Amino acid sequence: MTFEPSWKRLTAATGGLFIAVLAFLGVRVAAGGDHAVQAAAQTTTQPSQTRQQVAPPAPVTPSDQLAAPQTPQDPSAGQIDANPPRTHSS
Amino acid sequence: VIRVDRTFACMGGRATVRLESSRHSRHALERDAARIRATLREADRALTRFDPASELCALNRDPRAAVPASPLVRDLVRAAAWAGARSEGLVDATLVGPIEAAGYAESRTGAMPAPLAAALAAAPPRRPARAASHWAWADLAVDPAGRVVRPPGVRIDSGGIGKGLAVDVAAARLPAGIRYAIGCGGDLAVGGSGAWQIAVDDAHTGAEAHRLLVQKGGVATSGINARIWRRADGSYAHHLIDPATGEPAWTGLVAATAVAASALEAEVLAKAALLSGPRGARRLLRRDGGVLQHDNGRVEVIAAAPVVRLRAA
Repeated sequence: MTFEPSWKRLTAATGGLFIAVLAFLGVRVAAGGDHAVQAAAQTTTQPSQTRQQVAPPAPVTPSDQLAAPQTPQDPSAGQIDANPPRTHSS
Repeated sequence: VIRVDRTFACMGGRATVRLESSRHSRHALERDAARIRATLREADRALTRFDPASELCALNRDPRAAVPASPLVRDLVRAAAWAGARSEGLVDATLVGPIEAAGYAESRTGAMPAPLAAALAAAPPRRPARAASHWAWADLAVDPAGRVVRPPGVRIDSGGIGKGLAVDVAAARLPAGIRYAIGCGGDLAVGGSGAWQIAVDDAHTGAEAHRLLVQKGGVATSGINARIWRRADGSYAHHLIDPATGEPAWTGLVAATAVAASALEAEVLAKAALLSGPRGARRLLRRDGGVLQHDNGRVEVIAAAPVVRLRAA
């Protein structure tokens, strides 16, 4: 039996390989194995406050305007704080 | 909701503590505020470079390569090394010599800053700061025995890192169920239920330039306006040093405010942003957002990048 290369076979093999890689990456993303997706998820779900943990991102929401309250328990709901904490050069 | 507010002098500036809770009594909140004050005062005493009796000064004088240190100073050393790495050498806590040479060898607490407009008018052409060719901060470490390791002669300046670290430590010691905003010299640690409104002071006018909404973490501002002075030769100087030149950095920004997971990280980001100049600052602040204040008075708000989440179908 002899192997006869052809454009048809090459295209089929390439397409099969592409689908296999795509499926593998899809499984990884679904399982949370993708670092970029993990980082984005941590930004909204895993606040860090201990002094040893300074690198992980926390759920912070700076905005151009005062946003709507983030939770039903938000004490600042709908109010402008007349005396908010301040940040400044020191 | 019971609220307790405290303000006191600390680390060459003002410290502010705001605690709110519907679960804790006023007495308990006042006790927690007193503990925070004690924590910040302890950090002030240990980390100042203006008191020869401080632990930091003793460390900076010590001729040994490995020096036993308190947990706080060990944390400072780790934070200084991390800050250097995080900022690729821009935030360099080992620049004590250049800072002193620029005219900041003594505390400037209570000293009136020089006029910012005059200083900006006389300043050299603006350019981003760069890292030093030799990274002394990379030699800072804590060994397994808990000793600080650094080449003798390398001195550490706590600076803003010390403030950020101190408020983070104070916040970490709070019990659950308290909404808090702990500030020291403009570095803030905030948390608890609900978002905090944080006012950003205008470096040119002192008025409120912008208001941020922060759920939890840290906010810090690094700027040249609060500690700026005129040297004997008539030139102006400030305390934010370009590591590459050892001279005060004039980058086109007078202040940068950063939001991050902790006050320490916000402090490092803010300082790195200011030293990087406008273009680099936008890149540094784009993840969690912040505010840039330009030489010409323009206030530029950097919006946080939207969080993108992929979901499996």
